[in-house]
Amino acid sequence: MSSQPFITFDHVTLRLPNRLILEDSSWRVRADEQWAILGPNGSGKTTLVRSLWGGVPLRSGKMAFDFLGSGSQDGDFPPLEAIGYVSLEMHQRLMEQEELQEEFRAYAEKEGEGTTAREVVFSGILASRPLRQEDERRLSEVAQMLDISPLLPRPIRSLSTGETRKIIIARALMKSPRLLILDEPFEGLDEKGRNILARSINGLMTGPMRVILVAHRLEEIIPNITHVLLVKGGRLFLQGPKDAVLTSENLSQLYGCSLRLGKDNGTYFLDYGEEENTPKELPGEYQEGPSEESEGLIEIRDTTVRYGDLVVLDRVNWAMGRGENWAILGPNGAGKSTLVKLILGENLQAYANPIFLFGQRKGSGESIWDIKKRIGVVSAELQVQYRKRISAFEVIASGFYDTIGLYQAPTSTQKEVVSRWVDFLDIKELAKEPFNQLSFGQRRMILLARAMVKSPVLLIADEPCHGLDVSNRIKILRVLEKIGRTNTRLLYITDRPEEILKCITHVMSLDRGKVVRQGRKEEVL
Amino acid sequence: MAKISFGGVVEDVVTREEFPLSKAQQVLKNERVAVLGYGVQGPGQSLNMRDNGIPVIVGQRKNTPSWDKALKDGWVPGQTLFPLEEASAKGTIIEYLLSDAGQKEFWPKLKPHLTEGKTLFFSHGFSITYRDLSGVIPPKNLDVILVAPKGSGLSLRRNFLEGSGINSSYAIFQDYSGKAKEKTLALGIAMGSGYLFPTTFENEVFSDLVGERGVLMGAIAGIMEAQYNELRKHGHSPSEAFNETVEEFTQSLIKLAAEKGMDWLYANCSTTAQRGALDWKGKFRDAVAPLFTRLYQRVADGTEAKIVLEKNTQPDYRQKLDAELAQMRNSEMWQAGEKVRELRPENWKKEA
Repeated sequence: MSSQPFITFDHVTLRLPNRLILEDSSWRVRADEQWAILGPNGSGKTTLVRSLWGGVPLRSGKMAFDFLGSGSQDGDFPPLEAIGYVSLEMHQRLMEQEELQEEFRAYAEKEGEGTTAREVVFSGILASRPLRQEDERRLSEVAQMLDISPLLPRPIRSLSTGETRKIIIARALMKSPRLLILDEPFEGLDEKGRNILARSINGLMTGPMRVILVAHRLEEIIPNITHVLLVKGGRLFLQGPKDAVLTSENLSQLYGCSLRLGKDNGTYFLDYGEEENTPKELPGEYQEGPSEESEGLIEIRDTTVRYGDLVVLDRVNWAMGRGENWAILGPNGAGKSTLVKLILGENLQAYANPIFLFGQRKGSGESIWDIKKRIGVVSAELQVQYRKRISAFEVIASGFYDTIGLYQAPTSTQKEVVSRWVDFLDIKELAKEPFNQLSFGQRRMILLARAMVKSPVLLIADEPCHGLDVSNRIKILRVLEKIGRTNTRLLYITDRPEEILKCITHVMSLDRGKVVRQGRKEEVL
Repeated sequence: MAKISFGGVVEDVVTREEFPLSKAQQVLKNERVAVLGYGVQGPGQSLNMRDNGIPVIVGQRKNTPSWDKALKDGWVPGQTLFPLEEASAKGTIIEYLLSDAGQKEFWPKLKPHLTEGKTLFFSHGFSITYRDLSGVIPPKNLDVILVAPKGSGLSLRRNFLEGSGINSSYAIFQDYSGKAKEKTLALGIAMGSGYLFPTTFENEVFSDLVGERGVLMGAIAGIMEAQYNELRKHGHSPSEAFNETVEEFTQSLIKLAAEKGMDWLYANCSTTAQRGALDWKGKFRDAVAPLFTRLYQRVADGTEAKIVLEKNTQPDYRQKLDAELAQMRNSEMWQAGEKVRELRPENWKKEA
């Protein structure tokens, strides 16, 4: 049994809408192996795992799902109940579906909150069969394992990115699938959530379930993973037992930058090494803007946000002064995203609280465009919202107007500024591509450029590394480090204290809607 | 105002480049817009205006789901959220966004608050055009204006947040202040219109009522039924008849027509389809033209409006309506449609 084939790729070539990918790939997964897949953003990892359930057309070659047994035919994909699937794209698809549902409700003039998290968790099973009695029991097991019971009755749209990720994982686990495909399941989870998930998956691997884990961080290669596949530039780069594949040399080659692999207590980690010798200079400021700072940038007084009985922010007092760069720390559901949305005007309860932005009280005659003009945003949330069929270049240019989509022709000066950011971030080859066809990580870099073209007074980076590979992570953190030393102030949201930048001067730590601590960085941390 | 030729007929269109937000803010800075009704159009218009820095309050009946929604949306009771009458008293511009029936009912309570110099605003011409039926006869000493966004409240809001806009029509029924037009355009821009084109209260409601009785809903469903029945009479299966009548239209042709126009569709289809469609288009037009003449007449003389208001007050109307709707829902054609939709590839290849 142990060395039986489980999945076999025999000279497989896959087809994307505009090109072929993973050409002539052969890959062999045996029944006693648990695989992790690593590779840069846009290398084809997600395409590879999507092909496992028939989500990407096969151009040539053969895929065999040996684990289906003798009853299956050549060319059969595993039945849906045999596969659990988790990916970052699913969050986006879920939101698209919810928006459509919202249109139906609006047309029919029906009030309602939309699909609950519980319904989403069940939807994975319901895609292939009717509900059974034991499903309820399974739900309580899964909910307990992932610590999500309080989330289940809530509308899916009201959950934070991390909370939504947990729901999508629960949806996959509900099936007790034979094959569990986890495409970056840890992204967006807080430390506690990551530990719970790592422990759960590690445990599940000792049972009949086989796991294919797509990861961006070496510490996510949990102990029971036995084999690693490296994917680079749309090709399989290297595959084999993890200790043979995971070396500093291989990983440096994979990501195209100098990396040192370490191992501590069975957990891998990567050392980024020193900053490159000749750091590029940030593109110059587009306008005089950032010098017109008022006394305070943001002041939030005694602010509470609630939805019925649910209190999301509880009497928060916080002020961000001139010359300060803040990090906001906190686990999933702490209220970090809500705080950001109050500032951006996306949370409408900003009008019901004493909030001062750039010296002016919210709701005192300013428009959200006056506010947006001074703020650049890069976030996972924005990325989910930004679904337009325009080129990446145009997406960047839309930063001048703070629009989603481009509704005005950019001036030649603006185009010039866009080009300078494109050069600076080394994303020239992406700029002409349709934005929605770029990979998750590539889109993030485009949105960073979009946030920066107007030289904002304030840059809000809400989990900017979420979904990024190590080289992009290094890149974005280094760029943010530089931005923090210009006239643009930084508000940096993360749940990873180790990723707090040097340029950060102040830290606020939130938990369950309340401020736990705030002040100068060295005092809080 | 931009003069734009629509197929050779020149119309005046006001864009937000010509009438920027800053101008709208200036025009409305001493006003207080009271949006009455937080139902369909209310949220989109009030939220957009508030986000554009316009002084807005909301009027809504207490202890309703819409009141709770207003709370979630950051409206503060006693400051920016009031019961209907209180909001009517406090507002200088009254946005009357209750349903057609709701407007008739609340009118006696609104009227005392319509003091000299205030502005009465509508997003639909119904109550004013059919004022003999609705009783909505505004005093002479105020401005009565209209802006009708050409989309749902939801799309008005979504487009606004993305930074695009929605097109709207505008009209002036009474210009007491001499500044009615300026106010109308300011409100139109402030609520998130990308451009505005002029109409009258009558034209707005006539075209709306004709449209939904005609091509948008009434005529289209009628034509579909006729073709489906004919195909069935000759032994075509339900799935074939439905596919050739509805599915192909909604799943592919209408999307192409939306992007390129029906003329492009005609110019680029197969020669068989092309010859036939050109030959039959005129016959269909001529066959239904008398119906449209009658329809327009009945809309214009108030017959259609009268039916709506009368039916809605009959105690057993709800019951009769349900039976009518059930008959349509249970018809072979729409039952076949449900199955055809289930069989669409995207619905059977469920994603993992």
